Amino acid sequence: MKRQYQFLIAISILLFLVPWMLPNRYLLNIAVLIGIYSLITIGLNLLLGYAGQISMGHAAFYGIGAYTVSILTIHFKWDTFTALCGSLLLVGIIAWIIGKPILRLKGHYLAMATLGFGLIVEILLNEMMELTGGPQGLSNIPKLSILGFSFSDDFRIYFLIWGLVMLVQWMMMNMMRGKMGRAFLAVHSNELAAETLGINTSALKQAAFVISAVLAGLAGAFYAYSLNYISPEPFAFNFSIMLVTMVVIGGMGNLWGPLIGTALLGIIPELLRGFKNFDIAFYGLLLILIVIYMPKGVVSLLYWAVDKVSKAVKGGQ
Amino acid sequence: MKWRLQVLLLILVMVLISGMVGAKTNNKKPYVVGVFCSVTGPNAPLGTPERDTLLMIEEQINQKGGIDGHPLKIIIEDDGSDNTNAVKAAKKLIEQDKVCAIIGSSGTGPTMAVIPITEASGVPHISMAAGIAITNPLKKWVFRTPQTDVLAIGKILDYLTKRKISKVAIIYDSNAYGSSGRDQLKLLAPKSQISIVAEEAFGSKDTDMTVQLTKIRATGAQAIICWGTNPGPAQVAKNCQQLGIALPLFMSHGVANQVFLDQAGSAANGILLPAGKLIAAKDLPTTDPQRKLLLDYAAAFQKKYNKPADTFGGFAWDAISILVGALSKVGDDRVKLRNEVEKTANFPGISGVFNYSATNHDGLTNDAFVMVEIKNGAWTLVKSKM
Repeated sequence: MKRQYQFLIAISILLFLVPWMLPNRYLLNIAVLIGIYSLITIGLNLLLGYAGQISMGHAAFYGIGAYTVSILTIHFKWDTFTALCGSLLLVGIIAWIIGKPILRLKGHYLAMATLGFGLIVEILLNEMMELTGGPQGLSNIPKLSILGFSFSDDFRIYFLIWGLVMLVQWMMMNMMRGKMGRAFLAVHSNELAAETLGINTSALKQAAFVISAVLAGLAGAFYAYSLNYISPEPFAFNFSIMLVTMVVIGGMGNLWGPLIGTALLGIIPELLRGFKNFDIAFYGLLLILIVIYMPKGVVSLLYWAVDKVSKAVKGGQ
Repeated sequence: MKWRLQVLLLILVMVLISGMVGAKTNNKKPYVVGVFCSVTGPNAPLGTPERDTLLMIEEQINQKGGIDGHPLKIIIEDDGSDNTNAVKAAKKLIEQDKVCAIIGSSGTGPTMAVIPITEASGVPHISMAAGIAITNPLKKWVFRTPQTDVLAIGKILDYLTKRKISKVAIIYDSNAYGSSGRDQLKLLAPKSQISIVAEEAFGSKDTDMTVQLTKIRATGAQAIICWGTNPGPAQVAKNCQQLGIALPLFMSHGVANQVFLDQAGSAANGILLPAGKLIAAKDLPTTDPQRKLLLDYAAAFQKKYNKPADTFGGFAWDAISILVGALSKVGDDRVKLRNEVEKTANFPGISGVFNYSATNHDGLTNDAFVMVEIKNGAWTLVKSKM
């Protein structure tokens, strides 16, 4: 566990240096997007990998977060930071309300219910024209500013977002180390057994659901503040699938899995741009290969490499 | 297990390296224009002819020795009809490829997502999408080549008034294009004393619209106006045929392409729509300033790609031609280029005759459209000048 914290510090320092190493703003923009997505996948991993509950509708929370800050700042002229807090509160309340009945379901039924929730939100975003602007979306969303400090370009947003990602990651690590983390693992491996041990499983699942939803809402708010334009498509069903894919490819149930998965799925399409029209085919091929050969996610490759190196070092001595 | 991992790693590394090498082959080019269009995703029927046209023009210009000796380099990125991808593509084009101007996208959503970037970076931006919000309110750096839906709706309303049709139903795709059409129609119809008696929506991926059409049939509408891009409208046409609805069916200029004819088949016959002059170029009078241009473009496109040219390719043709015209006058300085594009006047293009000004970045007027009818799977000009 101590090694995990050392790793966190090392990654944080590396991430702090990244903006100075990137030659242009385009790559910085991709780094920002990966950071935004990481906020969601870290939360989703808590739900998927630790609490063992699937959600096919997390794009909806992401969307609610984005739309709430946009509507509050554009239509109601709220201050951007207050709007951010308001949006997190709203997402939390919505997740808490729908989590109650939905989390009683298991397996496919839970997947269906969350999927349905995602679709309902997608339809609402399209149809509530007066508020959401419908399919044409909302433009001229202001930049986030906190106490007069404006996060006006990607450079500033980068530090804010990755700072938050590292903070959230640190909190997750603390949580997993404690009683709650062990309770999560117990629920994940056998819900019934966990319950006989006196763990309040439904409260635990509910907590994971709300936390992951709020993180998705936070990511959505940052998305709106950094792009300044939103329309319903980025928050549609496809993105929910994308999020689950990121967690699974990275390695669910591992603290570093979602970060690795998100980074990979964020970077690979950019590297494949050189292939012009064949990039999608290559992208699909890569995903298939990863799922076949690394069923526990790309993070297993990391462990394998660390293992190999440490063995080699020991062998050398 | 180990060798499998090693094989996988090897493949991964090879693919990524070759991707990067491929990306770096295009470096020596004086005039670089960036394009982001939707070659994949729901807008692919628009983005594909746009890309093909741009590649064709690039080749034509460079064969003639470029623009005053400067070769033209067009870098095309696919945004997959997705806002976030469009933003990434635009940032890449502006920051990494240092393009002098940017063209894109095929759809309104991705265009709107990129506008804050082009406005902030000061890059001339010509959009190939029709949504009204792109140039209204006016944006300093953003221009547009397609005919607006306002012009198209005006054309349909004129036609309806002449035929004394006063009650219409609208069925629209619930995406940006369709809902923008609905909004404009609701705004303009009352001015022509035409009432909208039914308003139905369908999803871009829906495969059956009989429910909506049955509802419309019950309202006593005298005509149906369908607003959307492929493939939805083709399904509307088919369902109308299946249900035996004999009301005149109007479509938007968004389906003025071969894909629609293929998808709708015999159900397309009798459909009326406002369209750019391209699809009925042969029927135009020889005095039309665009006629020769249209026929040349159609012939060149047919020869190169062995498929007919369409209106969407025309939007790209107009965008790049306006840019090339400006580039040949002032070179690739972004500020000068923008000012020169804004001065474009009486410029005959594929979609119409362009006149930009400091207060108008739309360029086209009502006469950019003609009414066409689909007869036996082919476009024919509705001749009567009414």
